[in-house]
Amino acid sequence: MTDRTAYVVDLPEDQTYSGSAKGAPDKGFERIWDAPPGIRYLSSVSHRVVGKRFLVTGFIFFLIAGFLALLVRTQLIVPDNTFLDSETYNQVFTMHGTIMMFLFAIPMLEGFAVHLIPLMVGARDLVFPRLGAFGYYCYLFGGIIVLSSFVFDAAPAGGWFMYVPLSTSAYTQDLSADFWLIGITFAEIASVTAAVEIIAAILCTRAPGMSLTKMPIFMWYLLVTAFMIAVGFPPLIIGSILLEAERLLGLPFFDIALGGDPLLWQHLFWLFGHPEVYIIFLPAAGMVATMLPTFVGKPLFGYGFAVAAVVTMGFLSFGLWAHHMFATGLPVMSLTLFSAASTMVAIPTGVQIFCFLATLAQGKPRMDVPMLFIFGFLFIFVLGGLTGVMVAAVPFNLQAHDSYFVVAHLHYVLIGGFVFPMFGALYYWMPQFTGRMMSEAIGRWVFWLMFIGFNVTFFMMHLTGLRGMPRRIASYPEGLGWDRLNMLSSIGSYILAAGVVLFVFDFFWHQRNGLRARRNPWGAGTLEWLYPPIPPGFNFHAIPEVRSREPLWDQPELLDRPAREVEGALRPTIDHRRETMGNDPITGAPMQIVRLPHPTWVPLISAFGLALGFGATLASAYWLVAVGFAIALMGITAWVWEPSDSGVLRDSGLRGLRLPVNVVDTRSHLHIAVVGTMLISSALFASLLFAGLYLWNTQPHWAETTPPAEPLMAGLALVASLAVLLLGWASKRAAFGAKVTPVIAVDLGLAVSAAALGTLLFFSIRAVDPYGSAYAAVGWSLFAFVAGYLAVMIYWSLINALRKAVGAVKPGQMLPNLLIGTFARVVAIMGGATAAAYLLAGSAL
Amino acid sequence: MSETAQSTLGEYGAQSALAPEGVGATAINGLTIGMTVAFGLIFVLLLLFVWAVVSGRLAPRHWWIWAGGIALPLVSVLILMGFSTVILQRITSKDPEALVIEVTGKQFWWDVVYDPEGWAMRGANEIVIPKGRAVTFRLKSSDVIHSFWVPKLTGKMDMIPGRVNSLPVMATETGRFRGQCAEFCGLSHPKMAFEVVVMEPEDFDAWMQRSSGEARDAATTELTRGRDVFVEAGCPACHTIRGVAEGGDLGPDLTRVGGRGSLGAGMYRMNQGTLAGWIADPTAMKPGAKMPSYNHLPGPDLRALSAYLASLK
Amino acid sequence: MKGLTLGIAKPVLLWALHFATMYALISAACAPRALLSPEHLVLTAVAITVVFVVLQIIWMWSAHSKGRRPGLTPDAFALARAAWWSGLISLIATIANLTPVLILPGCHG
Repeated sequence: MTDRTAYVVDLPEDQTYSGSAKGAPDKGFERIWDAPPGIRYLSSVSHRVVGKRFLVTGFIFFLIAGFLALLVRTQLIVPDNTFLDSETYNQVFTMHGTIMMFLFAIPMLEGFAVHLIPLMVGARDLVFPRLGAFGYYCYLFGGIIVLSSFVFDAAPAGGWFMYVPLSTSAYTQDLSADFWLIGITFAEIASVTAAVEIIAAILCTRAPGMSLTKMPIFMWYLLVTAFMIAVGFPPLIIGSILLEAERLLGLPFFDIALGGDPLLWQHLFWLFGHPEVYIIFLPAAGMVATMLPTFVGKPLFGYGFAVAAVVTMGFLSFGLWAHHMFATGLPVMSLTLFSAASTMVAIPTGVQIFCFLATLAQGKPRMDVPMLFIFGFLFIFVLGGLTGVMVAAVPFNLQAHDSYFVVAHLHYVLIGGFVFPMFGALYYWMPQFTGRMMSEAIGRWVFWLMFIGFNVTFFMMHLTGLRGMPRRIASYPEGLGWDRLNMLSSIGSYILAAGVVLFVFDFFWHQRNGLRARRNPWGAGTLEWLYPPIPPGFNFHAIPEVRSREPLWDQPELLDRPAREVEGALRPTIDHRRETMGNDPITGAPMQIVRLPHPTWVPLISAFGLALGFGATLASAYWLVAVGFAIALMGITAWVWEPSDSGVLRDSGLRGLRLPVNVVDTRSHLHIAVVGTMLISSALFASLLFAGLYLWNTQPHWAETTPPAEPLMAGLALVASLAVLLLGWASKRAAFGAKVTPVIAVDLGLAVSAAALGTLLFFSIRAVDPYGSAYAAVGWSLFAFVAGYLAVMIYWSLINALRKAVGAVKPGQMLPNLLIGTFARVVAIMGGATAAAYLLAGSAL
Repeated sequence: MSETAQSTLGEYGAQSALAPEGVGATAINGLTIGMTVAFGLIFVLLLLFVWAVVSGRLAPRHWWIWAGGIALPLVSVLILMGFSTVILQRITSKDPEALVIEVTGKQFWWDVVYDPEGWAMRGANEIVIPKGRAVTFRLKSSDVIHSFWVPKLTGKMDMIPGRVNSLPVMATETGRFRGQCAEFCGLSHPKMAFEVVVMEPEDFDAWMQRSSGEARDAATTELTRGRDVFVEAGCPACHTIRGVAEGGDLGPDLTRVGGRGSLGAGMYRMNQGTLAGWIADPTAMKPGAKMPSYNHLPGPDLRALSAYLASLK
Repeated sequence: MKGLTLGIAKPVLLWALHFATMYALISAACAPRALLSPEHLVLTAVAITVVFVVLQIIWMWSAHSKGRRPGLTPDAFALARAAWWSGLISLIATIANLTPVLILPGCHG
C-alpha cells in the first residue's frame, strides 16, 4: 500500500539507537505512566488528565453561562423590567451565547474525545499528548481572557455573532469587542489542535486488528467532527483576525466607505457558524449511538447506514450557512439554493434517527438514567429538527428569523442535541472518572426536572416568537401578548436550573457515597470497560487484538480473566518509554510502535507565552507582546528539539512481530497530522481567497479602482513557488533514503526558495496601499498569510539542517523531511495561488 | 384624525404574525399553519412509533431506514419546497407602480421619506400607507445593521449600510400595526419600534394633502414662544420643521410630530408631558440616544416648546 | 478496502463541488458584476449537473457491485453499504442543488 519502503535499522533489543535519555531506565512499566505528583501535575500531558481538565473546565463554563441565562430569564419575567439595564443585559446575553458555544460545547466534546478515544480504540495515550495539553492551556487562557472582560467592565455586548459594523471601532469604542475577538480566537487554537489530534489518534493508534469498520461508531462520529472542525473553524478565525485588524490597525475590510462589505463578515461567520451546530451535535449523537446498544444489549442496527449518514451530514452541513442570512436581501435564487441544501440535511438525520429506533426495537431497553436522557434527546431533538425544516422554508423564515421562534428552535436543537446526550454520557462514563456510580434515584430527578423545565421554558417560546417578539431585547412593553408566555418561560428556566444544580450535588455526593463500580458496570461491548473503573493510567497492560465491533461481547478471552492478564501487544517495554501501537489507518494491521512523550512543562510555557502576547495586545503593551511571543517561540523550539529514536525495529510482543519505531511512512501518525494541519491551513487560505473573490464580485467598482500588483514580480513569484514545490517533492523522496548529510542541501534549498518566494510576493504588492480599499487590504492579508507559512518553513528547514549538521539525525530518522515535504508542497500551492491571484486581479477581467 | 390619535402601544396582538393584515403575512401564516399541523402530525406518529418500538411490538427492518430516512424527509421536503417557492415568489414580486417609501434605520429610530423621487415628504417613526395598494419599502441604514419588521404585514428585511433592500407590502385591512427592529443594533435595540398606519385609499389621499406643505402655525403666545425656543436653543441643527427651520436632518423631522401616535420610536405615548420629559433627558427614556439633554432650559421654555411640538399635527 | 473507504467520501465530496459550483454560478449571475445571463446560467447549471449526476450513479453502481462480490469480508461489506448509501444521499442532494435554477424565472424570483 505504501509507495516506498522505509529505511529501518534492526538493532539488538538491549541497544538504543540514539542514546536518547528520554526514557526512564530506573522505572518499571507502571511507574513510567504515573501522573507526576504535586505541582508537577500541571506538567502532565496524559490524555486522562487533559481530558478531565477539559470536562471540568467546560462544565464550569456551562454553569457560568447557565447562570447568565437565568439572569436573562429573570429580566424578561415581567414586561418593562428594570432588574438589569440594557447595557448589562446585552453583555449578559452576548456572554451567554459566546460561552455556551465556544467555551462549553466544543471543549466539552473535546474532553470526551480526548478522554475516551484511546480507551475505546485500544491506545495508551493520544498520539500528541503535548499538543493536547497545549490546546487545553490555550483554551483555559482564552476563556480567562474572555471572562476577565467582566472585571474590566468591558464585557462584549455585540452579540455572540459580532456583526459588523456594530462591532467595529466606530460603534464599539471600548475594548469589549477586542476581548471577544482575541480571547475566542485564542481559545479556538484548542479546537483546531484537537481536530488534528482526533484525526491522527483515530486513524493511526488503534488496537491490532481494529479495521475502520470495527471501530466503535463513536469514532466515526468524532472523525467526521474533527474534519468538520478542520474546515469549519478557519472561516471564523480568518474573519476574527480581519475584524481585529480593522479595529487595531484600521484596515478597511468591512468599511463600506472603502469598498468593504458588512455581509462579508456574515458569510465568514456563518460559514463557521452553521457547521458549528453539527460539530456540536454529531459527537453527542455518537455518544447516543454508543450508549444505546449497551442498554438494549444488541449492536447498533445498520452500522453502514449510520456511517454513510454521518459522513454525508458532515458535508451537507456546510451548504447551509446562508440560511442565517435569508433576510439580508440576497437574490431569491441563492436563498432557494440554501433552502434546498438545508432541507436535504433531513435525510441523513432521518437515517440516523431510524437507525437508533431500529436498534431500540432489537430488545427491551433497560431504563437506566442514561437511557432516560437518550429518550429526552430523541423527543427534544426531533422537535427541534422539525422546526429546523420549518425555518429552512424561506417565507416562514422571514417571519421567524431573529424572533423568539428561532430562540426556541436553536435551544431544542442544541439542548436536545447536545446537553441531554451529554448528561446521559456523564452518568454513563462517570465511573471512568471517579470509579463510582452516580445515584440512580437522584439521576431520575435530575432528568425529569431538566426535561420538564426545558419544555416549559422553550415550548411556548415558539408562540412568543410568532406573536412578534424579537430576540435580544432587554425589555418589552406590556400587553402585546408576550407577558404570560415570558413568565412561563422564566419559571421553566428555574426548574431546568434546579435539575442542573441537583446534578452538581449528585456529582459531589456520589464521590463519597456512590456505589463502587464493578468491572463493565453497564455490560457494554466497547473496549473502555475492559478494566474495572478507574482504568490504570496506561489504559492497557497489553493492547488486545480486536476481532469484533463489540470486543467485550464477542471475545470471551477479554473478560474471563483479570484485565491485566489479557494478552496482546506491547507488554514488554524494553526502552522504558511510554509507547503505544500504530496501525494502518484502514485495515488496522499493526504498522509501527509510537513513542509518546513523558510529562513536560513545554506546552504550558508555550501557551503561557501566547496568552501573554494576546493579553498584552489588549493592553496595547507591545513590548510585552514581543516578550510573550518570544517565550512561546522558545517553548516551541524546545518542543521540536527532541532527540529522535525513530527508525529502529522493536519486538511488538505480538507473536514475535518486530515493528519499526515511528516509521517513515505516509501513513504515519505524524504525516497524517501534517495532512490534517494542511487541510486546516488550506481552509484558512480559502477563506481569505473567498473574501477577495466576494469583494471582487460584489464591489466591482473598487476592484477596478484598486491599483494592480506588479505583474513581473508576481510572475517571478509563480516561478519561485514552483521551485518550492519541486524541493518539497525532493525532500519527501530523500526522507526514504539512507543518506543523511546530502539532504542538508535540500533543507537549505527549501529555506532559500521560501525566502525568495516571500520576497517576490512582497515586491509584487508593495505599491498597493492596504488602507486604500478593502480589496487591497485582502490582497495584503493574502501576502501576510503566505509569508507566515513561509517563515515557519524557513525556521523548520533550518532546524532540520542544523540537526543533521550536528549529527542528531541517523539514517531512517528523516521523518521530518517527509513532513516538511508535504508542508512545503501545500505552501507552494498557496504561494502560487496568491501570485496567480495578483496577476489575475491586475488584468482587465 | 381619530386614526392617528390612538396608538397601539401595548395593544394585544399588534405585532403578531399570527393575526395577519397584509398579503405577505397572510400567505406566510397559511404556510405556518400548514407546517405546524403537518409536522405536529409527523411528531405524534413518531412518538407512537417509538412507543411501539419500546414496548417490543415491532421487529427492526431495513425498510424503516428507507421509509424514515429517505422517503419521509424527501416527500415532506418536496411538498414544502413547492409551497415555499410559490409563496416566496408571491411575497417578493414587486409592482412597478407601487408607492415607494424609503425608510432608513438609525440608532435607534426610523427616518421615513415618502415617494423620494416625487412627493419626497419626510417623516419619522410612523409610516402611513393606503390599504389595498402596493407599497414598496426601500430599506437603508446609515449606521449599523437594522431589520425592518412589521409581522402583521409581511416578513422582515434587513437594513444594511451600503445596500438598498426592497420589501413589497400590501395591507388588506386598515388599522395601526406595530413594527420593531429585529436585528440587534446596540444599546437601545429593544426601544426601536414604530407603527404603520393603514388608511382607506381616499383617507390616505386626504392625509397626503393635509400633511404636505409647511407646519401648522403657532396659534397662541405660548406656542409662538415654543417655536422661538425651538430656534434659539439650536434644535434646527438636527431637526427640521418645514416652514420654520429646514435643513437639519440628523434627527427626526418634526413637522407633524404631534400627530404621531407615539414618541421615541414607538415607545411612549405622544403628549406634551412625554415630549417635555424627552427634551429634558432623552437618554433616560432611551439609553444611547444621540440627542443631547436640554434640562438646562427654564421650566416655562420647556413647557412652551413641548406644547408647541405637541401642537404640530 | 482503501477504494471502498474513499468511496464513502467521494460522492459527497462531489456534492460539495457541485454545491460550490452552483453557488458560484448563481453569484456570478446575480451579483452587481452580472457575469452570466439568466439563459446561460440555466444551460451551464443543467449541463454540469447532468455530468455530476451521471458520475454519482456510476459510483453508486460500482459500490453496489463491489458489495455483491463473492467472498466479501464483513468489513468490506459494511464499507460498500456505507459507500452506496452515501452515494444515494449525495445524488438526491446534488439534484436538489439544481432546483432553484430550474424553478425560478430569474435571480430575484
